[in-house]
Amino acid sequence: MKILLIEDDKKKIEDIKEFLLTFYGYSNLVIKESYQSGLRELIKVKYDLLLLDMSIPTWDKNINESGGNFEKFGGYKILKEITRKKKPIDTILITMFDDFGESDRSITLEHLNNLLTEEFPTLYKGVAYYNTREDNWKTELDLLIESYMNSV
Amino acid sequence: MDNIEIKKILFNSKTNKQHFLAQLKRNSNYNEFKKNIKGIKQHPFGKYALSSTPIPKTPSQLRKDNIIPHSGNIETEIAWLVDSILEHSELINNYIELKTEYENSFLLNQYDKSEEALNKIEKEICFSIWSAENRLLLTEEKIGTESNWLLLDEYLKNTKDPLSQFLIEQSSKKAENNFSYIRYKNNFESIIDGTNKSLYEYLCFKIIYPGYTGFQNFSFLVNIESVSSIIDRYNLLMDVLIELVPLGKKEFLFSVVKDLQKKISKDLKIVQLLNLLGQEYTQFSLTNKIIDIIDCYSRGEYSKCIENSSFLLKEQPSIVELYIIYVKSLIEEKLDFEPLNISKNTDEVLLKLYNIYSVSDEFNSSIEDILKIALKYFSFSFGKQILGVISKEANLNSVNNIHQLHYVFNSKFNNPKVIHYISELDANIVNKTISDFKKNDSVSAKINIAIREGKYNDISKLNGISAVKKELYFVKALLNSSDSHLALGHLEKMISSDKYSIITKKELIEMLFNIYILERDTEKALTLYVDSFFDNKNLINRLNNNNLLDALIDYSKQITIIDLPIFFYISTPKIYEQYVKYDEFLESRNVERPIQLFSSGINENKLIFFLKEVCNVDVMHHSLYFEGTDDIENERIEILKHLLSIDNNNETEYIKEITEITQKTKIRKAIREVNKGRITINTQQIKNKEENNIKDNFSRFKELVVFSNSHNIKSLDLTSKMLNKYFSTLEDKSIRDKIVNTSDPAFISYKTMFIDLRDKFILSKDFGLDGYLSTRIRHGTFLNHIRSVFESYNLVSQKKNDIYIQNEFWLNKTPFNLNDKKNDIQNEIKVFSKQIDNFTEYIIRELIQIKTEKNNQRQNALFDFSIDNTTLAFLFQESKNSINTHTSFLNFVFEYLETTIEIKLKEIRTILKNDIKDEYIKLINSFDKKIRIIINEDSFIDLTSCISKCQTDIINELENIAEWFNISNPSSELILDVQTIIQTALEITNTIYPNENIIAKIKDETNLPFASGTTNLIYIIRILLDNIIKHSGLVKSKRNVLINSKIIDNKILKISISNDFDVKLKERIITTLKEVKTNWDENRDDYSKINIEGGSGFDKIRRILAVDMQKKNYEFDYEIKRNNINISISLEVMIYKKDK
Repeated sequence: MKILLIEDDKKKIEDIKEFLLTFYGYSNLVIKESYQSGLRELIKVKYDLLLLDMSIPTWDKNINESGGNFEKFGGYKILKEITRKKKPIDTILITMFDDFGESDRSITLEHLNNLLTEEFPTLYKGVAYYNTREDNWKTELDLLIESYMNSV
Repeated sequence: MDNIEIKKILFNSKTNKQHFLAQLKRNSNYNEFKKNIKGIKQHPFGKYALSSTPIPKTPSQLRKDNIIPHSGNIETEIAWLVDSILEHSELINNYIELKTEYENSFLLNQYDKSEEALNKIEKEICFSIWSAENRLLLTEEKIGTESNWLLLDEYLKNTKDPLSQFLIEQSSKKAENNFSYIRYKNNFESIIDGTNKSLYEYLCFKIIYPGYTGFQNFSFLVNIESVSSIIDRYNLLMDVLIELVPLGKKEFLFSVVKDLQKKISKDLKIVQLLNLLGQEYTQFSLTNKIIDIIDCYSRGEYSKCIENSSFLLKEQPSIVELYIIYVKSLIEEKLDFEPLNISKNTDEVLLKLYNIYSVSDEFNSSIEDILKIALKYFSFSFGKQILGVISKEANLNSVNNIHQLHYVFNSKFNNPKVIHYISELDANIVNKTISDFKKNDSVSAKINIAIREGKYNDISKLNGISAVKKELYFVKALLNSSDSHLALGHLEKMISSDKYSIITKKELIEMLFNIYILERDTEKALTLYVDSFFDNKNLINRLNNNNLLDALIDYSKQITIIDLPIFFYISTPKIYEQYVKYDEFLESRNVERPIQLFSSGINENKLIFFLKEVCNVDVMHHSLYFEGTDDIENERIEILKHLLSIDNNNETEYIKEITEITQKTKIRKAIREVNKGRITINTQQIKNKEENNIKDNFSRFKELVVFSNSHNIKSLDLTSKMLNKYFSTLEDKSIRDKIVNTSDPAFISYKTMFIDLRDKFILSKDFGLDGYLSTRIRHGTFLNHIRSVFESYNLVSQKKNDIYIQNEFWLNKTPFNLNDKKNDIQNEIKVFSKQIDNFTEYIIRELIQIKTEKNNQRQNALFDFSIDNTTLAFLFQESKNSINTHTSFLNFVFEYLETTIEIKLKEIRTILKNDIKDEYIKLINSFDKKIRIIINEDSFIDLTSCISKCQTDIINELENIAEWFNISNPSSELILDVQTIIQTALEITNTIYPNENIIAKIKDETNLPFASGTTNLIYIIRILLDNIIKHSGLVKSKRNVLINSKIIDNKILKISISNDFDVKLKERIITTLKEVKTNWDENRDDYSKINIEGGSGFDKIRRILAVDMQKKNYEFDYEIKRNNINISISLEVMIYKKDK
């Protein structure tokens, strides 16, 4: 199985890597840290499963690149683009935010989950709420991956 | 319930009378309740409640009584209001007459006459919110804004009721000429945001009617007004009645209006209402006069219209229909605007309407101005009519044609256009109205009826109408007929002709566009839209682009024309949607980048627009065909260069954007350079300085070696390899024993030289490592960069006298439901701030420090340059015979030290990215956990999501900071102009102080590239900017920063930074600066203070100038004038002539 993780938080990346290794003995995780590098990878290479963060920078950050605009809904745009470019892939959202946006203009994770389920019914498999303090996210992610594996 | 029973209940002492009356209102209808009112009046409480101070004589008497609770029943609420109005019908009739006089005088700028009428209203009738509003307006126009404010102050002091105070205050703001419509609307919205829904509706209805549509809760509006003055009650009742017309309940409305008509004879609106309700038809006295002019217009006799309308307007300045006829006739005749000189007010309205109907360049500003006029005069019939006129042009979404109904309702004649606005009403009303107009011999009535009924042949039969007008009416009638499909051909033919005026053209575009949408001819609708936009961007303002957006989303065929991305750019602010169409278009042309379209043969105007507007940096950010920000900006510059060659009209704009992008790129590169590596070791400089010192010592050492019992070491490999060998064998005791030799005098001499050079390398006040750690990392920089992450989310509090103060940001943001937990949240923020600061200071004080075997107070220092005898002995053995000159020895020692520092830097980078990162995450997690415990089940999304975001950011910031711990190569200096250097320093400062944001005026008079020591100059300006933030004692808005750079005598670069400061600090500042100046002048080679953290950093600047930049001539100066300080740094520079 080929899994791609699009994520820019180093700690989260390490935790997800460790989770996949511990729970599934999986060590071939490919990591892309931005909207651009993630989308290019998805268009170029065929993956079985995408683990996707919602808020990501436009470009991979490095000494010569500051990352460009920070895309609050970069993950959503990736789903839109892979649908538009006809490169569908089963996707699990892993986010450390339980709310997106600001105050009354914000959207809760639950609401976002519903929107994604409605808009990408064939691709979107659900969301795990990542939290460095607790391990619940591992259980949630485990269930989602299990469910995905049973469906293929 | 009969009146006897009502009386009985009211006289029962146990009855809650207010609730009883509310209940009574809830369960009745208009006519029944009218009867009940007689019963209510038999009890003193009921009688008083119905009346409720209807004629207040002073502001303090406004709305002083309690309201009978809201029943939700519009019929009885209106009956309640009507009763008191009819009780005072004579006053109302008097008010209507005086109001007309007041309004007409006002429009004619005859303010004294207006004031007289207003005085009479207040004296003879009553004081009211209406009169306060109009007196404020009159004062603003007659005297000015300051008098308006003074009057407001007087009103507020004398008014007791808070709602009245609010309404009066808003009236004052609305009247202010400096408040634009949009600014007023935004201001109003921010004030009433969060108000209860019904009250919100009431306030919008009363204060800013043009800004909102879709009012619903009319019974509440009427109920609230039931304790206002009789004038306010009457005004609101009339406004509500027109709102109710499209909502049905014809019989109820008819009863109300008939009741009013019986006693209120002076108000034309009552007659208009009866006409509108289709029960009666009354012709107004002015109708024939005005209809004659409208008929002229309908026939296309524009010169006559101009003459007649201007004549009548002088008599009747409040007839809005005449304004329209006049300006439209000017446009049809292709005449420039000609003021009528009736009054300043009327000419202003005429000019704005002319700009709008002629679709001039002032279209948008005129729309805003005319909306302000509608808002300001909304208590006048004139203002309400203006709203009706502008509603469609301003895209106000007039629900149920309500704005147009206001237009007719406030009119002073029978306007045949009404039949188009009542199309949604009861068919009987429409038919009755049509048959009323049929009695009239007016040509405009005939035209409007034929259009309404789709009888296009009737239009053909009409005589005396100009050909172009007839064609327009014909196609309009055709569209409403059963043969509407024939209209398409007519319209397409008409639109390609240039014989129509801009007014007609706009109508034709709208009709054709709607047909295309209806017929699903999406591509044609798209082309029409974009072509019209290119013709005149204000021709499309009435087209419903949402309909086209929806049609394009559903459209199955691929659209390959450039109109597609252009339309999306015009129609949606969503960048992603603009990008999708940009991408689809490029894909359809088989290209990846916009520059590939330069010679594509696409219509030049459209290509220019596409390249100029659509292919912007934000849109291209989404494209997969660019490698990064630099690549996109280069593409944009190429696009702009191409645009310069094909579009001279916008040359300045293109050059400006190229300059901005280039500047941005330069600043970004400079910031990268500054961040790339902050550790510089001027090894060569130390070597040069030490060469003479070491020469004699080395000779002595060599003599000692000869005498010592040396061992065989055959060759000397590269020092780094040797060192690696040593490290790999460190655990091997046999080797260690073999090489340790502490009794050898040659070894002692060797050790002394080695340690001395090492100390110079790390601790030398001029070239040593510690100096760079101090100036480039420890001096505020590290702390500020770390703090900036948390400050940008406002997660750390500021300190005052070493105590963390309340975090105002979160104090204000705490949701209402967490009010009782505000203190707990604040305490946790303080604890977190302290933890972050303490840990960061620990890193600076204890970790980013140097230690040696002699200087080891900081046990945890990461730059550990301790060297023990074992290591030294190994080095001694390896080198004593093979190194024969003092220069080889210097090279040997420095190669060792450089290798060591590389190893240390690698370790430090790892520690920053791991141990230090983990500690920060631990602190953030603990803070997050505590906050979640405090807020428990409640939500404080803003705060919790900021805590989550700062985790990612601190990891990224530590990754960036880790990059500082690299040796920077001074030879890779940037060449930048001084302006860019200043801007870079400013941008870095603003990034690390996100809440300070220095806005500086930069005046660069050098116009020279700076090639040597660019990053050093950035550091110097950074320190000066830091001083402003830390030592000016002022908040950001009061600092007044000016940065000036110039070249003096063709050899001195002088950079001056001036800013204001808190005068209380003047003495301290003068003392400090005197000391600095003395120090700079008298102790030029003493850098002993440079590694003292904190302070003003001027010694660090001096070190940068003398050591890093190798400047011999440099100077510090200052000047203080009152509360302004000007600090200047001058340095000698080499200026090369261009040819060299």
